[in-house]
Amino acid sequence: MKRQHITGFYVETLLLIVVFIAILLLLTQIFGLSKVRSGEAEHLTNAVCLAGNAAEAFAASDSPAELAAWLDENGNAALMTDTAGVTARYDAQMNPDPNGSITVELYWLQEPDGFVRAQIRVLAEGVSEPVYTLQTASYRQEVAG
Amino acid sequence: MNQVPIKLGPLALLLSVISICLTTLAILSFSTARADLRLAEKYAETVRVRYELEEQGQDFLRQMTEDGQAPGTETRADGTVWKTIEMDGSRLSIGLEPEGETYRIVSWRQERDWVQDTDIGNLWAGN
Repeated sequence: MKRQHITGFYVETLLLIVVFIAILLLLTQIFGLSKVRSGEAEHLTNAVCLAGNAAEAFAASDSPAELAAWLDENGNAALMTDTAGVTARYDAQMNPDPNGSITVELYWLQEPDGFVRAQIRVLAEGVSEPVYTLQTASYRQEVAG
Repeated sequence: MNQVPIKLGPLALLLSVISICLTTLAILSFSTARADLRLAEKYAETVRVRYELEEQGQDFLRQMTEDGQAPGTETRADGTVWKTIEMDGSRLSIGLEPEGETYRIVSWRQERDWVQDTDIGNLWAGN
């Protein structure tokens, strides 16, 4: 009788622990998923800010060299070698960093009449697809004239 | 010798309370993170539209400077030329004043109508 009672106690305890561990595992997954979503939101917001900054610097620049000078802090911005454009690198906190994990690429697409299009891509290290892309343009009447 | 029986009731109750609290926190955490992501996506879309409008506005400025005309414009009595470009609920109003062979920008304004969100989801309306 006593032996049966002890066995029942162990079974009940085991069951309780198994159920509790299962709940903890499920909740850990939910917390992990929340962290991933939150990280995605942060990356996207940072990317949008960096792209917006680059677009404003583009609107204020007359040439890729001037744009690179605008964006350059601590040597994080450089002219592209193969095409007209500028790359600038930032760390995860959006601070200028020549070895940062976030790269902003701005392609300077000059048209003959003083119209310039800009294609901006924000890339994160280890991710093939751009985090965010932006397109804008600027018309310089004095250049056209 | 009397043995004190070990009961699982209080332990089960304690674990249940812990589980309920953690579940509530997990749900709150997930819904907040999802709302953050949705807000970030909305912000990204708004910025994209803003700069696309800017691009179209600059293109309009080029057309006016080169050809002296562009489709969809309105010329007012004072000689200024106006155009409104709309995209995804946002609009850019541009006003140009002729100045020799070129134009001077007298207005460059981006606007967006605010629409009140009256949807309360599944919240009980009280009737």
